[in-house]
Amino acid sequence: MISYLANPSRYLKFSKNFSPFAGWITLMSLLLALYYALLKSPPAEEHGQAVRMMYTHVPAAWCALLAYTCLTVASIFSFIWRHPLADSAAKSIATPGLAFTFLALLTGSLWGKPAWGTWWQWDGRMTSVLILFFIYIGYLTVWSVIPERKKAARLASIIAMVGFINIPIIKFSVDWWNTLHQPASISSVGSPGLPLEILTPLLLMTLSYSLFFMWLVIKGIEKDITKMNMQNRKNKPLAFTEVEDI
Amino acid sequence: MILNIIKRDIIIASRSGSSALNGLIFFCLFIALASISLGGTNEVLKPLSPALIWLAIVFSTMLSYQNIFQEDYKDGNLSQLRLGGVSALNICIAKSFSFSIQSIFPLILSIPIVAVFLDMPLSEIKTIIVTLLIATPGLTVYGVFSSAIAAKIRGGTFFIVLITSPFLIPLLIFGLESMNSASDVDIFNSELRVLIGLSLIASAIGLPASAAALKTNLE
Amino acid sequence: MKNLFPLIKKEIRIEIDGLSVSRANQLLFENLTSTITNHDIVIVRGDNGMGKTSLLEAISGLLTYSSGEIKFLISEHRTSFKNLIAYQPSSSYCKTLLTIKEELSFWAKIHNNSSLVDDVLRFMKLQGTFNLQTQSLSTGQRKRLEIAKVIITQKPVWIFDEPYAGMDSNGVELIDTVLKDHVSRGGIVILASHKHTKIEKIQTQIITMKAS
Repeated sequence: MISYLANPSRYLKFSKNFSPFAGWITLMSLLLALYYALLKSPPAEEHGQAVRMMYTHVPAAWCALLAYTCLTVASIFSFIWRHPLADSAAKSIATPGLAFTFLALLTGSLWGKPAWGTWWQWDGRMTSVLILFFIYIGYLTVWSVIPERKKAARLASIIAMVGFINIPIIKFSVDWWNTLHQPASISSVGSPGLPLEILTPLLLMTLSYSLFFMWLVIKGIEKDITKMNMQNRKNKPLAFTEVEDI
Repeated sequence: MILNIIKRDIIIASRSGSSALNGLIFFCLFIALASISLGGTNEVLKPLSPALIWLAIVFSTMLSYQNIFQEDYKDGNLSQLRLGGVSALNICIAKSFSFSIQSIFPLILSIPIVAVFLDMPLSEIKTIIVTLLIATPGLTVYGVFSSAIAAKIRGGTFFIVLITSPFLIPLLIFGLESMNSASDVDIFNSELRVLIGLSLIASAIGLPASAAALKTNLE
Repeated sequence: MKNLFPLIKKEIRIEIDGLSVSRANQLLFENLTSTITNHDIVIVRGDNGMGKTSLLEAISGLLTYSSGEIKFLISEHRTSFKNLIAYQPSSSYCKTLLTIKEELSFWAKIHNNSSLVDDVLRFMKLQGTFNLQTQSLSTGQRKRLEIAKVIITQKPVWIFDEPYAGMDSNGVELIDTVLKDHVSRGGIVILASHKHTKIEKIQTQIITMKAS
């Protein structure tokens, strides 16, 4: 499947047929999830209506991590096989990844206000997500400051891989630091033993977020390839050469 | 080969004198501004002084990361080294050593003087120097890495700060925590051991990654 | 005095096949095919901005090309560009704070030819100024240092980008003689130049790059 789609023109054909289908599935799943999240599930005992923020927050954080994992896989492909499609994929994964990370931060902060009484808390998870946000920005900056596409792709893939190894280390350090400085642990809702009426919308939302992410990536790659094709078509040589032996 | 490159870098740096001096001046200015803005009383400054010194050193090394490769890239020396058969990894190893010697060691050596302004006790000065020396490989290698990536970028300092900061956070956390839990009897506490581990991991990941990035930029 | 130019007995060939080079996403030229071998002097002509430097860098192995191939052969065996090429870019790559001798010795060590340093300094008439920092050199002296650094590599293929720029007639003569001597011992010279000099009498190949 992957090797079949590795050809850019074949990918374009596939994407044109498949992406509307994926788009509709995403939309339907999202509507269903929203129905459960907004109407069917009850407000929580201690958090009230604010618990619904969780249905946007947890899936966003999950997608931010999912995106980084996908980004690493694409980067490994790009680095080892120098495949242009892997470059496109990495680039198209990172942008939604950054958006999801930002969404996770934003909803976390909005949720934090009613839950903890403050917009921001230097707690382990939020700090880690903030650092992930900076890693995404750093990664995307490589793409924007280096004009040669192949070079940018290769350097970006190196950063993504180094980042991937570092993320668990950063997470570990931040958690450890956090337990030292904030002994009063903040109650987290993501713990096991959630009632079914909360778990169902949460899982549905996560599924629709992941589908939405997939749709964004498929479209992103498609757009990137068309852009590349346009550029290649435009590219006429600056000079012609003449070799003369004497 | 590696030794020749280090020797040459050190000779050039000692003749120009600017890189070490810039870092040092930045270090002192940072401490002065921080002390002034925090009110300047010993009660406030004393508990914060290890964190201030660490931050000052991390920032002033970050500002000199740019110089690791940019000049050698621009004037063509890196290409010539490649034509001379020096591998990218060897170039990165050599540059790591010359950067530590040129830019980080002068800062660490000046800590006792800066410490006077913050009224730090001798035992604390001792531990901060030990922790910084142990963190030096980590600080250096991520600098070499970011500089290898940014070799071609003009005015890449912001970019370098952006990509290195996340990677330096673990070093900062464990460096400072190991200072907090340091006592006169046991300088090698568990945090310090983690810091050693972090520096080793940084070198193991960072050097090959820097070599790959440098190679990409030299093609 | 012993001859400082490398004596090349083996057959050396650079085969350029359908070479296309681009820089910063812009295609510079395409489909360049040529074979260069011992005793060849190749001159690359063309207006500024046509990609002469990029061509030289591609042949030197310092720039990846978008398509085509460059093969480096010693006695019909494939080899790396690193074993053949000495490249002098249009601007000097001296470290300005080092002295002439330090600069030359460094590159001699990199190329494992430290024993030649004093002879090359004498040959390029730099022995009187070897303790001078390279930032205080005149254009002529700097050019002689550049040539000295090329000689010290002892590589068979010398590639020069605009070697005559800023040279007076003595300087031009000096460069011509050095290049001729190298070629007469089996070496290869590839250079990009605007100036017309005596080297044209013995050139074996011209690559012209014109705006399309």
